[in-house]
Amino acid sequence: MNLSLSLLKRILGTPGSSGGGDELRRRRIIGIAAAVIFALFPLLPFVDNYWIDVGFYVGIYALLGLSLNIVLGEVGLFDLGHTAFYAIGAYVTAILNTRFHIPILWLLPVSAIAAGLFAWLVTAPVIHLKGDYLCIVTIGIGEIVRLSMINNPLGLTGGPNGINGIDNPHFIVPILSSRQFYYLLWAIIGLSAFLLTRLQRSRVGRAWNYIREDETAAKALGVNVRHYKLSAFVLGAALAGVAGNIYASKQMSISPESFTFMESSLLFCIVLLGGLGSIPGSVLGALAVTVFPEIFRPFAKYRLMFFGLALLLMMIFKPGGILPRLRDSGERLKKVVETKKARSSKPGAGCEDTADILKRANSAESADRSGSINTIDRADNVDTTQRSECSAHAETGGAQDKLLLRIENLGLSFGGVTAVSDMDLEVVKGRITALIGPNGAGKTTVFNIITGIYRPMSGRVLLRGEDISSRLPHQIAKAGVARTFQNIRIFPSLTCLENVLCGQHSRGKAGFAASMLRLASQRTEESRMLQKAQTCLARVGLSDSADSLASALPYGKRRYLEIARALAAEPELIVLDEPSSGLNDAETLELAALLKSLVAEGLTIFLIEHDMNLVDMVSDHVVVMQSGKKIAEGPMCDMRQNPKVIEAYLGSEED
Amino acid sequence: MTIKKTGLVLGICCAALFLALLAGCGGGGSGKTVKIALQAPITGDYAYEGQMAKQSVEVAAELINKAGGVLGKQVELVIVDDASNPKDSALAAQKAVSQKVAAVIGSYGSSVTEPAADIYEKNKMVSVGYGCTAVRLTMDKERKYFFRTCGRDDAQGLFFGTYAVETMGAKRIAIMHDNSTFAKGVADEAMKALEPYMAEGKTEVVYFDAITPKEKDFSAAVTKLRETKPDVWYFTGYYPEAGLLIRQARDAGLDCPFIGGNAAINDDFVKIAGLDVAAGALMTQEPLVTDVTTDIASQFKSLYQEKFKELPSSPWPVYAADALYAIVGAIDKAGKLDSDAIAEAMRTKMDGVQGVTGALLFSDRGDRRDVPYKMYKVDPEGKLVVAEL
Repeated sequence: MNLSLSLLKRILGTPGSSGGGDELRRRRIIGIAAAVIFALFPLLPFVDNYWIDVGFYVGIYALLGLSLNIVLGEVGLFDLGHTAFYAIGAYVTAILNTRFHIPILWLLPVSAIAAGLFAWLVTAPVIHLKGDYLCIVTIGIGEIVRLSMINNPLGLTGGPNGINGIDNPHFIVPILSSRQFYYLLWAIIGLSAFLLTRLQRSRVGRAWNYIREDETAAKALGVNVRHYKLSAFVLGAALAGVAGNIYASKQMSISPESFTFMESSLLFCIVLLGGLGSIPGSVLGALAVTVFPEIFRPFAKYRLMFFGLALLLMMIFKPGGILPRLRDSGERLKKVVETKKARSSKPGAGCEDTADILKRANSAESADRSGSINTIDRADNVDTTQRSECSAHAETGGAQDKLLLRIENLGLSFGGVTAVSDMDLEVVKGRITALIGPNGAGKTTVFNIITGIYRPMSGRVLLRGEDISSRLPHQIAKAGVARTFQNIRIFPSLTCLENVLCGQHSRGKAGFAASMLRLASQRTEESRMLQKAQTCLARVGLSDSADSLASALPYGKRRYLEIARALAAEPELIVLDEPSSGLNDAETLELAALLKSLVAEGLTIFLIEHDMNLVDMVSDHVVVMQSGKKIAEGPMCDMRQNPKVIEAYLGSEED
Repeated sequence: MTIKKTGLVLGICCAALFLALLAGCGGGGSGKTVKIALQAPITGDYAYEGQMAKQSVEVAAELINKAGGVLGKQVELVIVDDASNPKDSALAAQKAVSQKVAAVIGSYGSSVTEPAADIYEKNKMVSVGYGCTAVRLTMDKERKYFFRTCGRDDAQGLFFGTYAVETMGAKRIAIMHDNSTFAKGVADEAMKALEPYMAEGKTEVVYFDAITPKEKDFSAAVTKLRETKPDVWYFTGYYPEAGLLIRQARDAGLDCPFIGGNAAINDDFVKIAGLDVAAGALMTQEPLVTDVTTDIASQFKSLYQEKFKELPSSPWPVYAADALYAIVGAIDKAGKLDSDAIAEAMRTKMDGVQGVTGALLFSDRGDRRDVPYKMYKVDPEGKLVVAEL
């Protein structure tokens, strides 16, 4: 139905790798070799200006590929009009240079800002569109820009003829020769790739990936989706603007013919060919789309056919791209945020730290495991006793504890179907509250309203007495509510550690500048986030899988990963949507123990559950829903005898 | 395993460099020939034009070589492909420069020619355009080494304006283009040529608008055009749209004379429009090679027909051949392969140098002097003939 989304799934669905040592080492050797070849290439005796220029255009496409990679690769937004931003950069440079004789290199930031601003203006109103729809809008943007250039608004763009007589850049010496242009461009690419790599390994880059993997989950765990999507467009456009600036000054004349839809689709090919989200992949993709057609030029008419064939084979046999991105291991993430000083003063400090954490984590885990058995035993014991004197227990508990979440008079309907109406509910701090009811009772809708995914039509949701019903999901997450989903929503092509880091997103602040410059504050924050994430992973017993891709986890463990991710958000209230579904009996017992121990640590849990045994074992208070309304509440044992509840589950013959 | 794979990758890199070496070494050349490059759209949207240009230049080179070549050496052609795209054009120009040719013929399309002309200028290499008619190529920027054998847009526009008003007596004129550099250029120049007549009240331009190239359904444009009730309709775009436009206009009941610009009408136009509709369509154009009767033209035609059977169906390839004649003539007059001397000869010493379409004389700015234009007509058999006044 939605072509772009299914394509994205197919690409990301191919088994990736999570930065194993060998692969990493190999990539590093190739990377260094490639850098050396690129640096020395124009100096080789047999390379003439033609091949240096080919290298230059590889660079232009590499830069454009990197810029589209931010939007398409990192965030998964299908942008088929990226050439528009490239054109804006080129035209801003050309117009300001030919009219006011502003030097080209001064116009470099100006072009970047202009393209970024333009991107913000045109994408802000449409950024909420998904998949194909956004794709079509971007095609429109690309065409509108090209046609505007042709129609010569205010006599600025020179119409179909374009603009000629653009100056050469001047950096200490005038940059005239093919070789100088080559080095100027590749220096810029090097710098961009360096900064983008830093971004990738930061809170910002991960937020982009979370959105690509699962927008809803990202939102619910505190990622401001709109902000990060827009920022990706703006940053991508700015980089394309830089490419436009250099292209214009090299070419000396520009015309709308250089900014066609074909160019946009070529950029698309570059990113897909290289691998979504892969920086070396984008460069390699650019190399492929520029050099192949040049080599095949003697075949004249057939050259594009060869090129197309190569692309086709590529997509069949390696849909993930030539150089798919390797996810960073936890150790690597840790290393990059460590200061040089710390590393040199304490040799092997990094390893020690990791070891420390692992040790601590393992002990916590084993303690947890042994504890869990006890808890289960206890739970079983409590179970029997509770059944006899449960009502008294509930009475005393309810009165004294503090109220954390309160739902008043909640109502929501979809079209004519009432999902929830007149719902009142209270979740008391430090307790486990369960929401049960037959299928279609509206339980998940209540959860979605609490976490901000739906907005209620009537009523309020109060968190610690504050109305949160009009807040956005990421704000609610920040306010202290974290959740899991009924149909597990993990980020499959990220590592488990990265998955859990998502929870920490809302607890960090580092933005673009801090991440690119790797400021001290950002590094401290990052290492704090890493530690927290590792602890949370250990808490659910997944330390060993920290560096493996989430998609490699078996089903049961994915549940735990989701819980760890929610825990990493440092919530007060954790909202679990059917945590036991798909788990076997032993796993369910383990889960019960985990939930109990979390509450013991002061967390409040609100869960939807179908497994009555689990509800029985863990819950302090149970709310029963049917057809969007609350029909009963109280301790589980009371509910078992409540005629309304029995009717809801079994029908009315019980009467 | 790891080492093996790394080795493989390095091996591929070496192979790529080796390829680069091979391609790069095409240059050099022997002292026995004079290398002249043809930059043309061998691939891409106008590959059709590029291929014909290549054939025409090959024929001209063969004729020149039979007659003794230039400076006692044979002419050797080097073909570089610009795929009618400004970026590829810059690369093609760089390739021609790297191969150290004496001069370059090229290219087709003004905005494609421009970046190449800049590179040739920078490298002090004479280039002679054959299918680039934008006025600004020679008038905006002073280029010492750039020339062209084809006319400028204003020449064609002026010819149309005069013909429409003076010969046809048109009172209501419609001008349509497709926003491409070339088509809009001609349309603008036609408009300029009509302005004096409009000031006198002799005529008026009732329609001036663009259609979108590569579309198939032009009914909206045709309806709008019909409502303006034009006496004559000038379309300055290319043949695929021209064919569809005239077909759809006739179907919609618009029957005023259709005049195409020099890219609008060729054999494909007739095929697309259908013979019944195409017959009678007019076209402003430099004379086709079939209507040229110089000595060189008859030699050229017979050799071309012998080699490729059919004569070029558009005028541009012949200008490419003329560009070769001009370059060879200038080298002969200059007596050496020095670019400055060749450029100098192109401007001042071309008396007596003849090409397929006649004398090859150039103005100081590099434009060809006295480019002839004619009004052509599609006859009932679908052939282009000179229209009888």
